[in-house]
Amino acid sequence: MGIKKVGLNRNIKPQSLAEKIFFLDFMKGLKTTIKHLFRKVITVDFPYEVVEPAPRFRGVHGLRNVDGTEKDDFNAWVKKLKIKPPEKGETRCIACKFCQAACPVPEIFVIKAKKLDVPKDHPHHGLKVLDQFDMDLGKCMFCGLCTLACPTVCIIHTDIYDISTYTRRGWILNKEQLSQIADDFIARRGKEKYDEKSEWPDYQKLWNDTDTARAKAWDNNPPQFGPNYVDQN
Amino acid sequence: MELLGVIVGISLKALIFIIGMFLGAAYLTWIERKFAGHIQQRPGPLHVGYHGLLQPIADALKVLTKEDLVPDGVDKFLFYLASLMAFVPAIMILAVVPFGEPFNIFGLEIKPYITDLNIALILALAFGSISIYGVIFAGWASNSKYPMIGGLRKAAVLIGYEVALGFAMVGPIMQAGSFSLKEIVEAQSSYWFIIPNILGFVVILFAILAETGRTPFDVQEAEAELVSGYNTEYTAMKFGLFPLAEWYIATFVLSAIAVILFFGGWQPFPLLGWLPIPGIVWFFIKVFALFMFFLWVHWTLPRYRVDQITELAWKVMLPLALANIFIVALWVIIVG
Repeated sequence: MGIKKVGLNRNIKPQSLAEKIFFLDFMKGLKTTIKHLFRKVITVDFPYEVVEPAPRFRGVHGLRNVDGTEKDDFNAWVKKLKIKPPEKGETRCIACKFCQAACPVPEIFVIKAKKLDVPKDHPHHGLKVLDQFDMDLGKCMFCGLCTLACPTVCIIHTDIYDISTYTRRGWILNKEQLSQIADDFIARRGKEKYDEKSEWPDYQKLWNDTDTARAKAWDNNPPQFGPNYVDQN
Repeated sequence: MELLGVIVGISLKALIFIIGMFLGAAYLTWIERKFAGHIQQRPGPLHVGYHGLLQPIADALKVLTKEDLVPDGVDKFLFYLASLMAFVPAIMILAVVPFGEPFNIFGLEIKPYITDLNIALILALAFGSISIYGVIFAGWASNSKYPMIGGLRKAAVLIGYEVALGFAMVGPIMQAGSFSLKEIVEAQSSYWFIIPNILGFVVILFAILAETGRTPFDVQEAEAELVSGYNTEYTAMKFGLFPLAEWYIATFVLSAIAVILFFGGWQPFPLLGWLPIPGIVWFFIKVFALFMFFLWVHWTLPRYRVDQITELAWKVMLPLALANIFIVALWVIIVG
């Protein structure tokens, strides 16, 4: 029987006589499965057990509210875009539409600001306020570019991933829903994800300091083919 | 009056055997699913009952209440016959399998087997061969390409392995001097027939894997190539009978025959004869261990190619079986 051994080693030979007689490769396979039989189950029993994603996880979006942890230049942005200075609990969004500009699928967003209808002598005269902020998550690929573009860390990713709905309409979230999602998320895991100035803490880097290989790979060094792919270059 | 007693007794025993085998096979599916799951580090059925213990019953209800579709182009008679042909002979082998020695309860002698024929082994082989017709009929009657290929593959595999299986069974027959499974077991009271028959046992292992269509010989189903093989066009309980017959009942019954031929049937393990365990329990321990071995092999190995399987049958297994006969003949002459 000319059965060949297959595998990662390059010097493939036909089976030796001992291997043929005692079915040694069968034994190897059987050894592997019996080892795995007594290992711990690694699956998650989904509806009953939920995996908690890492803080970096890019889940459903949220719109953060003002809670005293804004960046230093938040007030400057508000002033520049002629937005009514938000009070505590109001949205951080300044209707700059940077998120829409950064988005690969801009029609996800419907962002509208409206001028406040106040008399001329009111301090807020001529200032704007966010009127509409709709996101169609059915079109979103969760790339995270909107959150990077946001100057006020208003639009964020939360750790919610279970977003199935019965209709596509269920994926269109308005600004109240998004605010609610963000508030819940910040209450749950805000400390883990953001520091006092809404910056990402250092420990949330993609790799830790001991992982030099990854740091090097990140530094514009594409990974090389391993020995298994020698013939594919 | 005595005739009536015999008829009632045998009918009762047959009923017990059939119902027991059905329930047993149902729970063998649970065991297989649990085993396969844990080999792949997932839990298997978990939610219907404690650790999925009621899953077989739920599955049976599901399969029984499903719509029984019969495609237009099929040969209706053979199509219906095939699922029975696969199933009934597999369960009929049980008629000759002795589970233990006769014992007395309340002065009533109970024989834990249906009959003790003097040609039991040949009968078992014959029924085993008939159940193959089920697969081939299913392939032919479905009037569809995948079942056809699956059925013919199974036929090609079995022509090779039936021969090897028959020859491998000759060793224990020569030593016991009888075709009766009961007498073969009784002849093993001093030592098990595995000792001179080790080659025969290897051949039987491979032949059982091939006959029951378990990997590495599951070419007749070959999900990746043939959709589901010979039972592609079947639905509902007609579909359910095929795996039930092949994977569970046939594997279990052939394991029982292998245990009877090579591992001393209901004889206790060596050096453990003093334990107060009845013979029937010993028998089931051995059969279950062998069944679990088949599961282990099934969930480990990839599939052979069809030509490799037949090559293995004719070029390796048949010569091994013949060599086994030669060795056993020498053993019988020298040891006695």
